[in-house]
Amino acid sequence: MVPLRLVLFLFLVKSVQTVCCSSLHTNNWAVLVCTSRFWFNYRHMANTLSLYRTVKRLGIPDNRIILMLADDMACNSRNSYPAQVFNNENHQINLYGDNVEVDYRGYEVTVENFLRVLTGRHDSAVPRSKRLLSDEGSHILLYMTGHGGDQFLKFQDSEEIQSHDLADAIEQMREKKRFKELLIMVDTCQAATLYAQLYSPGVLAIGSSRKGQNSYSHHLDSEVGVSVVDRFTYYTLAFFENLDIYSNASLISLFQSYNPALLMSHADYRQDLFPRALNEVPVTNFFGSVMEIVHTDSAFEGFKGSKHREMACSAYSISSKECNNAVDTGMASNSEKSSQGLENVSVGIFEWLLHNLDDESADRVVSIGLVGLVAMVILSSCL
Amino acid sequence: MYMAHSVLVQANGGTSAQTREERLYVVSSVLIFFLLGFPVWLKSTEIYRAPLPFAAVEEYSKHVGSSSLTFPCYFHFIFLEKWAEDWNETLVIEDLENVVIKASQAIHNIVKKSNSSYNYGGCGTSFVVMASLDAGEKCVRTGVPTGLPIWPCGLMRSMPFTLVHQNDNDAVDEFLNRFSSESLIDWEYGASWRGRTSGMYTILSIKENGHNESASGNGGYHGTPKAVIGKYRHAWLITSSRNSLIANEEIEQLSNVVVKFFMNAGGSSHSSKISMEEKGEFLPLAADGKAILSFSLLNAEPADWIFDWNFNELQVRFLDPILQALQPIGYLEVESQVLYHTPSTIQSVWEPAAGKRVVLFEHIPFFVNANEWHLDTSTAAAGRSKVLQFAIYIPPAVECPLHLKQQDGNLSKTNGFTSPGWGGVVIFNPGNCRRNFSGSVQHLSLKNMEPIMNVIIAQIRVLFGLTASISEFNDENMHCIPAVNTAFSEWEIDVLLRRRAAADVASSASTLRSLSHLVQSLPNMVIKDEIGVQVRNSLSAAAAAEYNASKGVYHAAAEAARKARSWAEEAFFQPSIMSLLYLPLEHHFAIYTPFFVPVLLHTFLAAFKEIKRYVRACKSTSSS
Repeated sequence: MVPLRLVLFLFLVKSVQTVCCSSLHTNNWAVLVCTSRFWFNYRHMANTLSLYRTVKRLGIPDNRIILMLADDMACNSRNSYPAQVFNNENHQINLYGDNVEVDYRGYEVTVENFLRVLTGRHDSAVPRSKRLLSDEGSHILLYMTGHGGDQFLKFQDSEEIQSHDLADAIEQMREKKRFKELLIMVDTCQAATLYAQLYSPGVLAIGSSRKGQNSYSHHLDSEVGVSVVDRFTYYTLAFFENLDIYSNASLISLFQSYNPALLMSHADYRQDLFPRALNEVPVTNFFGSVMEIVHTDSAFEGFKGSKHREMACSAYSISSKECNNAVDTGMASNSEKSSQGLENVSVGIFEWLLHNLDDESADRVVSIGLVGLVAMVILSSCL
Repeated sequence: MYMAHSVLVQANGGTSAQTREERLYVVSSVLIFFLLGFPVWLKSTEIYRAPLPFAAVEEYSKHVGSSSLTFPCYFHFIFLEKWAEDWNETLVIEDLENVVIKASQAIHNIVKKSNSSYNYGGCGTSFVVMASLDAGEKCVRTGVPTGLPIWPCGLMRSMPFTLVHQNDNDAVDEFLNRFSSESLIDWEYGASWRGRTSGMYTILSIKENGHNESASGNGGYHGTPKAVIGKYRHAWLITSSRNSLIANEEIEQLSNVVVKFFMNAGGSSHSSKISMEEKGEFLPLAADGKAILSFSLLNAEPADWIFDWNFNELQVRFLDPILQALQPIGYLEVESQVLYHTPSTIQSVWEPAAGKRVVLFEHIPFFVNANEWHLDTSTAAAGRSKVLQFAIYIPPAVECPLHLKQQDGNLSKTNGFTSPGWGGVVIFNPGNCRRNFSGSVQHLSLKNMEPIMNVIIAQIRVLFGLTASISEFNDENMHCIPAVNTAFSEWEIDVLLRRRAAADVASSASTLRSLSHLVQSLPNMVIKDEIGVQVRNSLSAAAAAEYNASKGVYHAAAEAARKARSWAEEAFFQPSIMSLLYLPLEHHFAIYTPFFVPVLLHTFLAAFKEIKRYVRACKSTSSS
């Protein structure tokens, strides 16, 4: 297994030079994953919802956010504030207030679904709102929070995702050009180990703690009864408090704003796979949204469209009826023309019927038909 | 094991030879059972992996990596001249051959100078230049490969020179189109001639007969274009009479026209930072060559006014011809909706100089309010399809009339913008900006919608990688006739087809390569038969595309390339390929050791002991 992995790695290293980040940045996506369930992990859901609010405020629309939550806090029987989720004991913001669109909830938050979202390998019945429809111009923010350990992250208290699997999934994303740049933000214990195995270029990662360190919650809300936010996320939100969609604070200012004394752990980041210098990257490149705009310089004047069909056909000295058939179907062979003529006739009758039966006359026709039907039945039974 | 134990207990009194043998048989039968079962177990836990043609995929991707798909282009220069008495046929042929050589050289130089950007979708080096002189009764040709359907002789006789000199470009264009199609229709049976003319371009060179260029009287040529590019696959050049038959400047201009338009669709004004490879990728189509154009009429404030439209009419009048014309490149569908209460996120500002409300240039990227504009709600769009959004925004009365501001500070003439790969937005200001208090729905007629649809047609062109309007290239030496029937000239469609086919083939190669790497790196993963079938289909479609492209059959090659990419994507995005089993050797040990080690250990020990005892007993009996 190991030598094969080495060979694969070398193969991919060779192919790295074909992936030049020369595509334009055209859209932003966010994948926010809360991997915990149960009441005592309230703070993880609050973390994720806070970040959801932040990216929405900075411009990423709902149809470009994939939100995965266990979603069992707001209506939990232990919640003394039903349908409300807070991330601060001052209860100023209700994170669950309005316009929260959860894409994967409850038992749908599994490692398999998460990897399917990343790699794009869904069943054909999965709707577009549950897919990561990114392309080669997308910047993706991947935020994960929950309980983690050395090289793994626990999902819903029943399974784990390993750092190798995450690295493989991201490599498949890169091969399929599903992102231009990717920022991974992890808020768990020993977060830095989760991205230690990454090898795809274009990925930037930051974690709330190093190997062997825990990440801690910020404060306890005595009315709710549990901790409501984690320290790393709390200070991240504090950083974004003062920003708006036009702001150009850089990523390095975000990364350097974390104080190890306040976090009680060392927030580590990994930039060896990222091509750009961090002081040149504005945070809105990942946390906000941008549309690449091209102004339409001129209209297409004088478009005549289908009116010119007849003129073109007369040039070929074909009769107009045959011409319509030919132009409609894009073919000009004789045998097919005649069969299409028949088809067009029968289709035409149907269309004529449909066209002529508007509402009132349709009702009349139906009622006359019903009466006639009953009369026929009576007649035939009498005979 | 139990039996062996009971045998041992029975035979505790004495180790007779028979009991010894029995014990040996029992123990060895258990051991043999395990040994026989081992291959059965291996076979039953084997993961079904359909055999994939890894070597073929590697070779294919290497081949595509070195050379992208190229289509041959044929350029036919026709010189319309009256046959002078002192002309010798052999000398004329020599002149024409010179023209062919010089033109090929010139085109080659231009292509090389602009490095690689002309190779993608631009014929590259696989073009053929042909030249002929059409003098009415005499006709001389050179450089024509056998069997190629080119324009016949006799053009000189029927050419409407008066129309040419009157600059009635549309009529000349239509005449030339009729001439070419009538003559080509006899060449092969009806159905295939449409595809066969792709890639064959004809450029006429017409001399101004008898008019003196410097004369200032009426009919002079001041200000008239010298080159006219038609909307089919031909162009013509009006040159002043010179002493020599064909001048060098003429050849230069012919080559320029050929490269700039027929090979490269005019080049693009902005987005020159995107390489041509990405241009092919940026054709806004899904992997299977389909796309959905989704039109939304947005009433920002229904309390002010409510608008509605008859979209079927709009579709038939404006969109169907375009979709028909784009069929060789991709299949486009259309859908529409009308939305209410869809304000923009941006507050416009009052511009006192213009007396209008404007949206500042830096605010335009935030104009689309994705929270309130529910554009992406298509039921027709399956998971991996591509949707292009076209939003027609009707502002509230307080902001009417709303205009966009361009980067240079001027007000926009079109009030529209596009976002590459996403779609376009146009602002529609209701005529008089008077609120409609009755709350009735006002229908937008075809006439109302015409200026908006013109902008949208331009936006469709921009999204497909061309310029908004071909008239951008008009100057005093050049005039391009806009394709008023289909919005895309036929030669533009050729360029897009070449780009898309090359991109499709390259993408299918890279997809198959990454699929084969992935499959080889995960030996524990099940590979269904379907994946093998899809990979093979993709490879054969790609081979068909190469073959058709080399033969110059454009439409079939594009179709095959589209299929190749579609199959490759299907294989790669098979939901059964889930790479979540990181199962190193240590995990294998950890799983199987508790099952087999205790049992096997005891079995081996018992067998070993029995065999030793048996051998010792044999030796003692044989020695005694």
